[in-house]
Amino acid sequence: MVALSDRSGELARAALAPASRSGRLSRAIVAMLGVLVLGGIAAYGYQLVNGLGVTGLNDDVFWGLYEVDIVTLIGFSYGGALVSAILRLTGASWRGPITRIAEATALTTLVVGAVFPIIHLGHPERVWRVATALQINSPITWDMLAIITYLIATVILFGLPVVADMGRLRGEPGLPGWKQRLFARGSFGWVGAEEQQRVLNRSLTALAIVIIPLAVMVHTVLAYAFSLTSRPGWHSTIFGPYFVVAAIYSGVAVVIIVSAAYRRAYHLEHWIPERAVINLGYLMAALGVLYGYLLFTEVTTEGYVGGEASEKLLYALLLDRWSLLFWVFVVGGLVVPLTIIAFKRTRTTTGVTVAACLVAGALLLKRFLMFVPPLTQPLISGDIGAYTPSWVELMVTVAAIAAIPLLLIALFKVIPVLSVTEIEEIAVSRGEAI
Amino acid sequence: MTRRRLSTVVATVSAGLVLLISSASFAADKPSPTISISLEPSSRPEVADVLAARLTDPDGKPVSEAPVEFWIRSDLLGERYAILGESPTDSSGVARLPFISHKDRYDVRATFDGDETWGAAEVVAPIEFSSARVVEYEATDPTQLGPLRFVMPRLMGIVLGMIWAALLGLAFFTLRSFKRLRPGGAQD
Repeated sequence: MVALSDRSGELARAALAPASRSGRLSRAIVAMLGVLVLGGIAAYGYQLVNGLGVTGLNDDVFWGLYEVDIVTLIGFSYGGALVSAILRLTGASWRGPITRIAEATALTTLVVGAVFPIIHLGHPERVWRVATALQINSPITWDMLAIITYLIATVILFGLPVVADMGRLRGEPGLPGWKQRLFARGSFGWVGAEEQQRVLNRSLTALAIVIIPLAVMVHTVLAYAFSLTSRPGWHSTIFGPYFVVAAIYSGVAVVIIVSAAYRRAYHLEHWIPERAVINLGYLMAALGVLYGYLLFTEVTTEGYVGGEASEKLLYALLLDRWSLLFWVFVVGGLVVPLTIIAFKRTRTTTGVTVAACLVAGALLLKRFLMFVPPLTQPLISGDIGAYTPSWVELMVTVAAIAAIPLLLIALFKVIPVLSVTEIEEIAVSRGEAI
Repeated sequence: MTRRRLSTVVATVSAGLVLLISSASFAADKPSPTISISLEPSSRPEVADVLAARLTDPDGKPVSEAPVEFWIRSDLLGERYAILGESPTDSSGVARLPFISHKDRYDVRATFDGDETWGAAEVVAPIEFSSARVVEYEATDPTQLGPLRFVMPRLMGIVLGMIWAALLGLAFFTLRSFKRLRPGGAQD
């Protein structure tokens, strides 16, 4: 019992480590991320003053990097929430140290991603018109409502276990006074009683059941913004599942990256074991194979029938104008990550993290290839369109990517990085020491 | 050497300025024709009314072969003029554009951008249409899915409302249960 109590203390200290420890390196990282975010805000300010003309968008390519960012970031979020929900529902015993990071990643990427429709509007005050001039038959309206619904579900999925952890850790020695008061208020009377644990588990299970179809719905509706148009390359029944699988694939990759980063930075190797990272790697590999299959199906179906417009688009994508980017995606986003995970020698925490970085980057590139090349194909004029992201779009995108770790760092300065209650509960239910 | 270079630059700039000023004054010297707009109602119900813009020179003579653009004032996507089309003036200086009206009054604008002989001209005038000639706009539905289009979004709205209520209810009752179920109850 003494040993168990000692281990619980160690777990609590490990969970609060990012909040209590900050070395010179972490301060430098925060400063660097802060500068990048400020740069992005300045670029957005420049866009506000000078209009959307400062972007590379034009009459042909009216959806560019901002749209790529929306879909990519919401995809990252989707993967985080689904990892947590699926692992919870399947009762995976290794989920304990991963769920908090997965849910926090889901929340931060969603918050950052949800800003992009406003950036893309040009005039942010026009958001109001979405409500005042609501078009209930528009996919964009449902897109917005789906994202809000998903945000509510993600906040609750993230928040309930945090409430339990606040109750569990509020008396932890070494906790600053303000945090003790915050944890006491935020714990809603949680003391870890058996009945409370039962209610929490039941609620989280119900939420996990709801969030899976909800996340599928969100990304399918996001795909509707493209597939409900008659544009070759977009108007396809495969777009819904294609978006969903791409989202989970890239989302799992981001959860791996964040888990590995915290594991390394705060020496959480005991609490986030290599087995957990490698298991996430297996999940990512399975999704990679599924995504490769969908890509193959899309190319084969479009190419075999060979409608004039589709054929031109496929030619540009596979062999001509966009082929370098396309094959970089295939190799960097599918072949190399799957190869890394296939071999035992490379299937380590470092190997899986490298594979995850490749997948996250490659999926951003893939979204670019999904949206921009079809828009450059002429529907009326016969002229091929062109698009190059401007420095404003690039700076805003870099700022958004930098904002994710910055928000995570800020979040884990306040709340525990590990789901203490869940880890302890899994250990108790399995009759194991923590 | 430097003085020669400087004088060359000064001469070039001066020549450019003279050219610019003379071409500007030449453009300003071009007379603008007068443009007026009217409605030529059709006597036959199956034939559209015609918007007519008349272009005359300062002596009142018709200006022919001049392209005239017709616009109407619109508040779709913000207040602006939306282009209807373009038509050249005939030998009597009149450009005509058939127009089916969907309301009884429009602010119509006719513009001529000018050419080598004439400067630009523009007019905006309210045009009244007989109520018998106004064609009410009716959305067409080639797929016959009108009832579904009406029902589906509303049904989705109800389902979404239920999901929101369920999610918020779940959070509320879980947190309330935490307080209620702690040893000693929810006294404080």
